Amino acid sequence: MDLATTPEQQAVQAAARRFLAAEVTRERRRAWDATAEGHDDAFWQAVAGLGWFGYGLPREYGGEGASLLDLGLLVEECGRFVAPFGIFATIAGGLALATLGTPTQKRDWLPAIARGERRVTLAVAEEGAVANPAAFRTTLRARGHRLAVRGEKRYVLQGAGADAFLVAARDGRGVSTVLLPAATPGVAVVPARTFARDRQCTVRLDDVVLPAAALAGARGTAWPRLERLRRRLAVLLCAEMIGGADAVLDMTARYVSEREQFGVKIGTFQAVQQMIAGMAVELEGARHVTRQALWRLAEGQPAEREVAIAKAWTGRAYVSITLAAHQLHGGAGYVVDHELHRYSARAKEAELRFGSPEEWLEDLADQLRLAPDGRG
Amino acid sequence: MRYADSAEQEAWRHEVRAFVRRHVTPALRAELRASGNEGEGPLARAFHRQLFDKGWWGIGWPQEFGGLGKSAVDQYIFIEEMEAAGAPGMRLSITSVAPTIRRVGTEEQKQRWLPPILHGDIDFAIGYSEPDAGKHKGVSLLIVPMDRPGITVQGLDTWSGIRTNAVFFEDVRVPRDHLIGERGNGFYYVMMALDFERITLGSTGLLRRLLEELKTFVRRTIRDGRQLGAVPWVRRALADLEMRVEVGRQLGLLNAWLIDQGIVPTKEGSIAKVYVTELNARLSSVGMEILGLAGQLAPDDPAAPLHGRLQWLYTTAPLQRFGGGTNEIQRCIIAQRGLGLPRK
Repeated sequence: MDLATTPEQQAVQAAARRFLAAEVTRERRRAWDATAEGHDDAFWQAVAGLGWFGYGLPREYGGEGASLLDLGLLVEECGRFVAPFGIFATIAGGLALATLGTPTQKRDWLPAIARGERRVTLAVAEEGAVANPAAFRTTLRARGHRLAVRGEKRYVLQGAGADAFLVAARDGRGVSTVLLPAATPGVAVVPARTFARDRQCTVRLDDVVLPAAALAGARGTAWPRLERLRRRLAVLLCAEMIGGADAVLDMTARYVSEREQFGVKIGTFQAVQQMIAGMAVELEGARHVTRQALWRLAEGQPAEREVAIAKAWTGRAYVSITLAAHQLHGGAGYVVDHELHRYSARAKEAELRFGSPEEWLEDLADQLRLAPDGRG
Repeated sequence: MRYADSAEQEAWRHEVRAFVRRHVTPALRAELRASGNEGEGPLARAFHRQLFDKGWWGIGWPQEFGGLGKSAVDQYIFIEEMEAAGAPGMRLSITSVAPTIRRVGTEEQKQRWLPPILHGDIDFAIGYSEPDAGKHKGVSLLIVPMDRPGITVQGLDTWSGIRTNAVFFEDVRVPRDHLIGERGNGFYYVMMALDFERITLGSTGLLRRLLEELKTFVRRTIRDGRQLGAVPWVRRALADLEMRVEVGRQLGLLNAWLIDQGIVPTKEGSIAKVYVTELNARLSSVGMEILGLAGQLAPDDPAAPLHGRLQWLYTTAPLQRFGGGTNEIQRCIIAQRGLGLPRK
């Protein structure tokens, strides 16, 4: 056991915290709310300049080769400041291409992603399918030497302004992924309006024709790799959540320690102390099941159980912590002038993304092998 | 960062596991079920003797007092494996009294009291609470040998079968050197002892064992013509417990690891205590629900699934929640000492 972060990891976290504290101001968030991308160019260039987009990408493609654990510690800081979700989306898109792409695709795209010049985003979910490839309506078919893709993808992170989509499509009995440039004829990107006001989109693919080189991996074989990727991204998102939950607990503890009612600080009330202690218990558990899963994935160890536990627990914990924070802030935290609602909405969205707590508990129940023969 | 045993910790875990596999016999488990977890019966005493012979009564004690000087994480591993095997619990003399004497006693007191505790020649009870207590100041900590004149003991049987006692002191005299630490600081010492006791309270070895047994029960059971393991709410409940036990294990390990860093884990100790004791209550209650009507069967009924251990935990859980500093007090500690909320 060694639960300490290394001096290098601490330095990365501290630098990220300093940067985000200075850059992600209330005024700037307000201004970003009105933009299509949820951030501005200057901010994006500054983040790119710090190397965050290439931090977890392989060195041979212009990245820094940081482990998923190191990346998670950085992402924690983004969550702490509810930084524009485009950062997470871009990091996730880069990891997706690094996981799924061919060497040529990686050579063509990853260095530019690492520099912050291009963005690739993952397009898997559909209206009627999330985790069951047999239910996908988006299909890929051969058309001569070329490929035709047709369908509709939903909840595509940071779809507006993306340079390409990694699209999962049903292909015969299997699933294929293609790297689809956004400018390809037949691609329409329609912004969705989510309550955390991140920039998710619907991507319509109306008989899109692609060269065979657009395939990311052999035809019909993508699903196991997509599942592994989903597990990694689920835990990375948990890291975002524990950063956010940490910030919410911290702001709530400070608020109740200062706020007075009838001349008494509300933080002295036992009812308040009981609630805030409950938040701390949930967060501390979330922090360590998340870091445990990140560590196991980073070490290449089996982690299916730990991933399911991390996403189920952390998803619940962040939501519950933000709702308790609302109760303890009362009206002061309810106005949009206060930042709390940004955390609360993101918490609920994160709970739903990459598998909800109930879905992961179902996955975990399968892993327990409760049938009489010890099977699923 | 490393969320796994080191090579040395793994070796230690295997050593403990091999020992308990050999010495925690079905007969010993049966005796424990009949006589309470701390073990008053002859087999439990023999087991403790075997532990002592290996030097495992003082695994966390400094070597100068005959201990092994092992880390808090090693102690956590030890407790986890002992509980997972269903071994008798460690006695309060070892987990609570001795560490206090070691920390605040004089050199003479350490020499006098620690070796006999380690040898199992003397055993302590702790008398911290009073019917009308509520003041912290002016409390001193004393060792009172039970054969002193003026002591009356009145046994109180509890719901879980553990016997506790009301002890009355009437003009009992003890020598001045039986005072532990400074006069008037007793409350502080008691709280300090509890911080260490929480390594034990934060252990999830027992919960892990019961959960595994519950899964085995579910795999083997058909109810109303249906495999229990295929019933959605049973699957959901077991997955939920699997998650919660893992969270508890992490909180316990965090607590132990912080102690090894030289940090008194005030906040984290309270977090682990609250979490694991609440989980005891939840796991026993949900577990009995999964057992169905058979969940009612008492440990001494031969048909009781899991030997009635869930029911035993159900009756023990209230004690764990209010004992060792109630969970409500623990939450106030988390809020005030951990998160800086004002006291007044």
